[in-house]
Amino acid sequence: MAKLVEIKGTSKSYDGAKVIELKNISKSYDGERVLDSVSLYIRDGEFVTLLGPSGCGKTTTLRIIGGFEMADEGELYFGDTEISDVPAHKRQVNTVFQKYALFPHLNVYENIAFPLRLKKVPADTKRGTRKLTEDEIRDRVTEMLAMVALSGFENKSVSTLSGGQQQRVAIARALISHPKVLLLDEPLGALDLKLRKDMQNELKAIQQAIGITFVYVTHDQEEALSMSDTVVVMADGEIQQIGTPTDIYNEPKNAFVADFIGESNIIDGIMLEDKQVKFAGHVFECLDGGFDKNEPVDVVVRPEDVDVVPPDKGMLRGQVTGVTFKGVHYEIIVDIKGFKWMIQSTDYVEPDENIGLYIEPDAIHVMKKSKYSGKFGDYSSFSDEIDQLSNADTAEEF
Amino acid sequence: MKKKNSIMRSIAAAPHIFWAVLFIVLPLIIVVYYAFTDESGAFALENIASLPKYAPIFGLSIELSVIATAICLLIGYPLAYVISKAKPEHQKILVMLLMLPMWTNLLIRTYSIMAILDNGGIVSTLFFDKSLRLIGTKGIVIFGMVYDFLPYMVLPIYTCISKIDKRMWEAAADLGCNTFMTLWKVILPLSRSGIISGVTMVLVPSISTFYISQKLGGGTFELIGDTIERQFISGTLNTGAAISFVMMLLILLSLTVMNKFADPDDGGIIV
Repeated sequence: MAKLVEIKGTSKSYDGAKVIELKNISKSYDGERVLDSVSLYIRDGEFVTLLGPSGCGKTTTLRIIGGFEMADEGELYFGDTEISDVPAHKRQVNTVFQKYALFPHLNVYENIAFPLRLKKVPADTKRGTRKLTEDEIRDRVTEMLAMVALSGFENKSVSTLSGGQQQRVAIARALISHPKVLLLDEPLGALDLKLRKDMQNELKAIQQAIGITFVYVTHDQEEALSMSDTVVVMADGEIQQIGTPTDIYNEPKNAFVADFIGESNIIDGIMLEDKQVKFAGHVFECLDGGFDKNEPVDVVVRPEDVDVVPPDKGMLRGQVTGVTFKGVHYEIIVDIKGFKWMIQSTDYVEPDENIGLYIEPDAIHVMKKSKYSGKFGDYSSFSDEIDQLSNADTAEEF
Repeated sequence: MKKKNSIMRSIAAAPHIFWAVLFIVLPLIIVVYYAFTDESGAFALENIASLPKYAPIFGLSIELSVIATAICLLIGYPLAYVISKAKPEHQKILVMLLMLPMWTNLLIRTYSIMAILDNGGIVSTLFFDKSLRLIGTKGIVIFGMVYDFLPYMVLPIYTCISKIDKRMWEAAADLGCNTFMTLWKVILPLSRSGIISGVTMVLVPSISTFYISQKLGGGTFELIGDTIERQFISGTLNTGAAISFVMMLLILLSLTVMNKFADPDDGGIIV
């Protein structure tokens, strides 16, 4: 796996100015701490995703940026200005709500025109401000409708629209006053899978076309990886890791991140010295360093990075306990000294067959021990925890 | 109305239908019967023909009840809004306080207003050296209507506002509305069905009330409710029935007009 090449290939570097910055933001509800000293900055034009399971604090973070919640502690900056106490309606930030929150008493046109009717622009002749004229409003709404492919829907009632169409109206309404930052709270959560994929591409295209910052909240790791420039993985009110999608996948910081993003075998290991790690009773060459001598560590091996070989050629040997056909590959569960590994291979193996495993040095990722060590990464119960987490359709009610 | 097809539903609805026929439809038929017959029971239009002389009383009833309804709306909407914005545990107490006077009989409440505001009553004696004369003015009758019927305005509006998705408030704020603009551009239009219910529930009883005008009016003027009552007490049933019939038609007409403004999706419809 050529990590470095991939990183350079897919990620952009953002030297843009910081547009949003959170400094040590904490928030509690009824004595329960849902955000614990969260610090994060978001650069102009970046597509940032807050990713985590239900209850991790991602929605609360978004709501604090939007102004719907006030942090108990910490500061929030918009550019260089502190906006911790600025009410929502005065922030240059707009939100696409989870279930769109379109105004049912207004038609499509009036929903999108809504922010414009409140807007005051500098008057041309004398000093002061004026409202936008009907012509100006119509031009902008028409342009926006064309962008979200809803031309001709002006006079429709929003309640007659499909989920995908309502979604587009919500996006148009949030973008029409040209915010610096668009916040999206699980915007695709209510759509079916096919529509979701289409909307992912469309959202990404819109973001690239208009070049504004998107802060996107989701519990769907695939969505996060495919859309974002930067992924912020959260759990238990804390940021676990910030990085590009490739970083997050290839260099997870701890067992939680490794487990939440994709499938992983997470094994207890000991770092003998730089580039040498011992786990499952075998000493492996790896690429990691910077640990103490004989430091206990968590070792991550992705299922697709393990090669199945004859037992005598393997670094590890074990017995197959389960094989599941997944279309592209087989998902093989192998028992190695009591620890169940998951391996994805295009070659079929028989259940109960003894096989050898071969692991390249660059397929091994070594992580420091954390409070999540030992909680994830064993497939002994053919763990469905990832599916459960990513299917958590129940919204965070914060 | 949805069509009710299943037999089970018909059976379940039977007691209600029986009740409605016995106590609503049948009495209405009796009213119509009396309105179009004379004392001997023969068909007659004289009762209806005699109604124009009551037009000024109709006019006064409509005037006072419309004013009372408007005042109820002006007081009731902000009240409903404030209650719906209070903390959930406070909301219960506030609604309870609002309902509390309704536990007392309407007549007794009206009498107590009299005791307090009567010429020579408590307020008059304490603060105005007995010179305050309120009983017998239009003002006090309107006051009585507002006092008695205000909860009927507040409750439907409160229910309606508290049912509005909280994301509506957030969306409005997000898009640039301050509190007042949120109220004006989003919450007020979305609570329209509550307003229509409230207006109906205040207007209808105020237009037909007789005890409020009788007690607080001090005998100086008569509303249509008093007229109807007097007809029945003095035994001219046919005239009383005719007035009732016409008044029902008028109320039905005004409700139909009001429902034109109601949102058919909202379900806040009375007729």
